[in-house]
Amino acid sequence: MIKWTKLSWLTVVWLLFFLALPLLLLVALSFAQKGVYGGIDWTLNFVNYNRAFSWTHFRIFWRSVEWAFLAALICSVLSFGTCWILMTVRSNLRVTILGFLCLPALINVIIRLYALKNFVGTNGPWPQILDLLSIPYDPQALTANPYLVLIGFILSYWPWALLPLYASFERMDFALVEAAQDLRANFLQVFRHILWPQLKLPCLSSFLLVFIPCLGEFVIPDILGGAKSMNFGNLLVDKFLKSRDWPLGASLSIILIIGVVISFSFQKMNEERQ
Amino acid sequence: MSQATRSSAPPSLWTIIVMMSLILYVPLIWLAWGSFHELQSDGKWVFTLRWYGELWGDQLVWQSLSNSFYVAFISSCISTFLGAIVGLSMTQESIWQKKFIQVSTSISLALPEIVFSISLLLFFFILNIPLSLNTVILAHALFSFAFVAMTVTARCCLFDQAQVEAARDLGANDTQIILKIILPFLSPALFTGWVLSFLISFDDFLLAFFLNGIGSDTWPVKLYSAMRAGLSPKLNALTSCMMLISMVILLSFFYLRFRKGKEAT
Repeated sequence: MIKWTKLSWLTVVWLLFFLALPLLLLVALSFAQKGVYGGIDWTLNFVNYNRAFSWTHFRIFWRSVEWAFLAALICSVLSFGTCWILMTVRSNLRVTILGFLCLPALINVIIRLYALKNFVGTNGPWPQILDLLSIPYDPQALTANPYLVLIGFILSYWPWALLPLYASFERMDFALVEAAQDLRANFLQVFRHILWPQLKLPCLSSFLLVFIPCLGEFVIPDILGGAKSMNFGNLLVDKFLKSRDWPLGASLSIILIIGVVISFSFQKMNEERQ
Repeated sequence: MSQATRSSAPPSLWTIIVMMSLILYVPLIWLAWGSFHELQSDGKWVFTLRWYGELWGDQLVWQSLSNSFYVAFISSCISTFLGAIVGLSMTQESIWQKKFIQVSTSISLALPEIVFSISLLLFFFILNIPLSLNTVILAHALFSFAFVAMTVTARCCLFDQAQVEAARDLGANDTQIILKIILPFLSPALFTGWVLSFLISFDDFLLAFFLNGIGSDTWPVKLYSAMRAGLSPKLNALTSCMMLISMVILLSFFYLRFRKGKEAT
């Protein structure tokens, strides 16, 4: 079998060359410098990190953290409620409802965002609904505002929270809830004494599973956010494709990687505690 | 009787499901409806198939769709081939490689896709490789390889080494063992991996956005740039078609898996 196992070196070489090497180059680039005429000047220095830790970048980073946090929080609360409901319906109905709720997230992200934008735009029904309810709105900001970004995040990443949480709900002994309700516990008591103690770690997991991808998201804020709400992902794209300041962009992406690694190690620790 | 003793959940939680389904589906339904209608100057919506006709005649859309198919097909074949190799080495004893594949898989899954695309862009730039469909293919193959490796690894846990030993006792050589035992054993995982990587590649926006060359747009990139230029009813028709296609593919995929699962039990 020796002859055939040698083939597997192909994958190792492939991964080293196309996965590891580009990442190493990115790290190296973050220590290089922008050349005078726009190119890359490969001399070791820390200028980029000095520039990366500026107040504007920090504000953008902080705002992405805020939005990702909000989106993750809303997603996990919504999925907690949904799972609770699902556990009380007939078991063959559960998968159907779950599939119904997750199906739109599998449609291409651009289509989903396009549909949303089309719906809230000037020709769509949303302004008319607002008119009907006589809620004042700013017609300029209809298709581009931070709340829309938040909705986009939630719609896209909701299944990330819902499915793992549902799995934990299924593993839980739901007879406990029934017993508690037989003993006249109300919903709040059931939640506090039975569901929450058993499900707080899975909840944290689903929170992080939404939080991490939202942190570096580019498409959703780009399409739904307009010029004012810049996410960290947009900043990176801006540095790489528009202002062509690659070394600075590289150091910013290293910062993003560090942020993601920190959140992931939280997630790993959390999983081990479970 | 067992149904009657089922406990209840706070009824107000039903509003979550109803609300979420509305937010999820109403824009999509509106989109599909709008693709069949035209807004007259007096504010009335009139039924028309005009947008579909315009879409049919649009050469650039067809070009981008065929680009997408081409990229998805080639890249999923590459990643499945590599996945097969991984499977071969995993059914043998090679712990070191197993570890390596695991680490690299989790890296490419955990890494934000944007960093992934930026690093590949940089890589191609430094090696002086011009961006084209080939670079997109490479990136997609690399990205979807993680998913193929995952399905293959899961399958390899079930492999029974005794089969190989038995075959060898019966005088089979290496090639026969691979063709008659290992590959048939891996084929369900490889097939799932192939379908997954095809879907991932066909659906991907970000990697193609960064790495495609001039004039080699895949359809999500095409849609994105058309959207930047402004919303138009023709785009409604395009997105409705794509939505329908992906719905049909997904539903049939799940239906088949569901039925298979039922037969197994």
